[in-house]
Amino acid sequence: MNPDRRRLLQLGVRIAAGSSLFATLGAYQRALAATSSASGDYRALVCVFLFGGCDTANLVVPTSASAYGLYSAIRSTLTLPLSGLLSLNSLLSLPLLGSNRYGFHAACPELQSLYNNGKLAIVGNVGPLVAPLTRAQFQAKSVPLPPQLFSHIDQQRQVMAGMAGSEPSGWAGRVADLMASAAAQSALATNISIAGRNTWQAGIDTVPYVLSSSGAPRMRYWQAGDSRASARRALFTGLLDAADAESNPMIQQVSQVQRRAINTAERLATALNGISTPVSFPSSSLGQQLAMVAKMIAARGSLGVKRQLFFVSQGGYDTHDNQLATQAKLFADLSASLGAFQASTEALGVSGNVTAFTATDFGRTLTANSDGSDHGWGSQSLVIGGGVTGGGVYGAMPSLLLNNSDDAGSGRVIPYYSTEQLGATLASWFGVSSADLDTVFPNLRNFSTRNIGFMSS
Amino acid sequence: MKLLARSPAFLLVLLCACGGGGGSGSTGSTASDSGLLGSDTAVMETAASKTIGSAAAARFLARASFGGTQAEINSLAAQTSYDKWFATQAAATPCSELSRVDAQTAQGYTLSQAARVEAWWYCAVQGSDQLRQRMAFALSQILVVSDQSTLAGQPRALAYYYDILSRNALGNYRTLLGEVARAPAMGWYLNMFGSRKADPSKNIRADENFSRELMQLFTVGLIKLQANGAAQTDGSGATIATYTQTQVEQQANALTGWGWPGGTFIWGTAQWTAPMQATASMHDVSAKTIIDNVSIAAGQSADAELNRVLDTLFNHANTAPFISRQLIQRLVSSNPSPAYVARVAAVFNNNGSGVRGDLLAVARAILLDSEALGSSGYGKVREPLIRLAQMWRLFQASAGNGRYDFPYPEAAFAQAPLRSPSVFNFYRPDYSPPGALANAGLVAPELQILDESTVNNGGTALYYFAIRYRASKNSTVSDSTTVSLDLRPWETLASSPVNLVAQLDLYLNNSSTSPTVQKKLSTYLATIPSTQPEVRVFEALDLLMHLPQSYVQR
Repeated sequence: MNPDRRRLLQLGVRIAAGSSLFATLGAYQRALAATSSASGDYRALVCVFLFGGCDTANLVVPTSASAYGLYSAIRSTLTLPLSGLLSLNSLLSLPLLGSNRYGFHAACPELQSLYNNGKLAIVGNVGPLVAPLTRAQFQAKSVPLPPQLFSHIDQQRQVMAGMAGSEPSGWAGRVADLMASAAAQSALATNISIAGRNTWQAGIDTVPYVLSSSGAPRMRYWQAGDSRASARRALFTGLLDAADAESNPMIQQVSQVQRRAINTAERLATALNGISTPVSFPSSSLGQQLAMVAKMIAARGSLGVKRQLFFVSQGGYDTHDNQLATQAKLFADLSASLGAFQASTEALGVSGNVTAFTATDFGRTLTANSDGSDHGWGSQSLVIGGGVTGGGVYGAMPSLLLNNSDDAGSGRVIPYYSTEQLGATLASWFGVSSADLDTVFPNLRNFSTRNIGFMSS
Repeated sequence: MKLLARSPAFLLVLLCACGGGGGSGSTGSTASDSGLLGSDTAVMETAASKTIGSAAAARFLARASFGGTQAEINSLAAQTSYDKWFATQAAATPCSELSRVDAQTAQGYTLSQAARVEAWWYCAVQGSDQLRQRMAFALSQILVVSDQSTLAGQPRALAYYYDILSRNALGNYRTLLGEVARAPAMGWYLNMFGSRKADPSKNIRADENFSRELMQLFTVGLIKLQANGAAQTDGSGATIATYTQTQVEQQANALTGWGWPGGTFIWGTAQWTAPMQATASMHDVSAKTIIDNVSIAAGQSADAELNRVLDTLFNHANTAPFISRQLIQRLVSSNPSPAYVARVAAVFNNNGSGVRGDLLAVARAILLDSEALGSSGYGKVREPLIRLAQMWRLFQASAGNGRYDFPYPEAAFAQAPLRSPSVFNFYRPDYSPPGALANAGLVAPELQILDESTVNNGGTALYYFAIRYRASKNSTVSDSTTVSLDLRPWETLASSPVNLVAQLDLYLNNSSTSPTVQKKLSTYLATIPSTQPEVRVFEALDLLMHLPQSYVQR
């Protein structure tokens, strides 16, 4: 982001602090003061990022005869057999889908169960947009387009940023910025990543804490039990203070990371001591990341946190090649891991306080190359939790017709909802006021629908 | 750059501008120059023969190699120019990963990615071709393939690929591109292998993966650049895309038909260590229009079309600044000035003899630029693999079995050779953490993998390797398979903690740690009994490695 835009956004946050945010903060503080029940005012959002660009057109597949015919025609070598699809009950009457019925990929029985029990909503065709866009406008370039369409790194960043552009901060980071001054929010970062640094959680003022699936690693050097241990530690603390005063901002940054690492690791180790997950998780990377999120949620009381944003990820979705075999494994892991996570939050009694959602670089081309697909645009997002009005597909599913009104070419689908509309719906549930949504999502005002409606509370 | 050696006044200014803790020039003998080898004894007092000096030599070798040994630093320090060093490096025999892997396998070690990573450490620590290896590692983070893919079971394919990088690291970028594009590892990683001509009747297109990333990451980048690497903008201030989606698709058509050498397309015996070959019947022979509306006539072979594509991209005006800037970031500075990028890009475009893409000339231009040798800029955060390699080299680390077994460094460092999570490397060239750096408009790519978990895991890994040391007494080393340091030569310095810290800081950090911080360290070290010199050395090393200042190569 250029410096001017950054200042503008910062200014926006400051202005908000004088008006609507004030009310928000007041509400937080009242709620935090009042709460005493087990779940209380606690809320957590969990972003499950599917790196590489997930082919969601094979995750949620039409099962009605005519629509399946269109699907198999456009997908060619990537077509999944109808008989294996896991059918979804239509619990909700949502107008955009007409009489079409859908099923999950055969590897996703847990997702099918969550959907049919009303705990999972599908948001059809989401992606970065600056403003609502038709095919004619796309071709004529008469409406601003997100920059660098079809590029992994740029589209990842835009999805995580919650705005189309080169914004280095993310929408979870900006939400944490808004809440940073809420008095009762403890020193522990609002944003916790179990999958490394990411744009989604990068704030302008606030910094996420990065945890590993096995917990908060401590530095062995500090555990040495020799007679000089305390002197060494005091020395190093003083050296970090000295490093903060260095004129080189890279040294300052390293020092701050080290200090957070040393201080928070010990605190988390204490809080997580003896905590185990109420259900078993897959041993996969994603399963273990979500297990750690479940442990952190279980430890929320001793950590004194009320609002948390978690980031986990699963890689491998860039299926240019060998797609059918690859995605069957990935979807099975995704389904089992999300199923275990939902079971955990239910067992912990906080299902209604925790919402998980999937996001990805982009959807993939509906057309195939030899045995894979290429970079597309819009994709389906899954939203899971006790607070979700599930069992329905929100938004529009791809038409599955080349050169139709939603086709940007070769089956790269023009999104129906922007990533900002999806984010704003989630952030609103998380507690961000309507006015602040426009600060967090600068282009939201370009869209008439500010809340997609899949959250019940 | 010969100007440097012939221009004493200029050299003097540059040398005096660098380093922090003394010892960088050779005019004043300081504590840091008076220690182990006394490199200044031969210094002539005339400006015409000014030597490089210890701190400047240490600084240069931190960038141009996997860290200097004492002998290398002292040798370079006594030189009056870098010419001999470059000449020696250019002539050094390339250390081959594939040869190392195969030799180890022949001795009974398991053929695996762990063996390949062992070969990488071996070449990084023991290779005499340090400049070549450091450049190859930089190139491996631009021309990315990874074993976190369908290549997981193919260590020889990746060792062969790495040898392509190191063999051409001081050669020509166009030659390198040609070998990279045809390498089976790249073919599998970005799917040019097995990409066949389109079949519109079945809605099947050519695979776009290699076509896109070849442009986005390996040559021209996404937006049009000025010669200094800054973005070009249109009348409204917006950046200008370098190519269109249609051009990606057309170029993908040109890149169809490739499969196993000696086979028919994808059918045949796997040969991971020879260039791919194309099968005519799988290649799209229609006419294409690629980047900048360059036309490719109908009816040409896959080989001719690949060469046409690579020539076009190699000669594109973006390629020199795009690649040069990233190489500067890997070796010297995360935030080179536009003028620095422009100077290096000019050498990329023409090495002085009319040759484009001469990587040895580019390396020289990067390492000997006035901005590199001067004191401006903030430097870069050191890559964690290079930090450990530097420690191993400086302290002559070895194991009884002659191997360097640390096969999964990513668990501690979030970095391992040819093991990035995607083709976008371990970090983005434009990563900037929230806070002071972002506010100042500065980037620090390596900070993307230095988080609250990796800083402790990485610190612990360095601690474990540091505490495995050979000392004149109380050695903690007891087995033959763990790489361990040799601290014995340093123990004689331990009687003076002040001198010990200064010497370690010279060789590890080119004397960049401030006197105030050095004083705090030496005061603490003095509390360790002088009868335990090995403990003083170990603790001094460990504290220095953990200092925030040591994470930054300045």
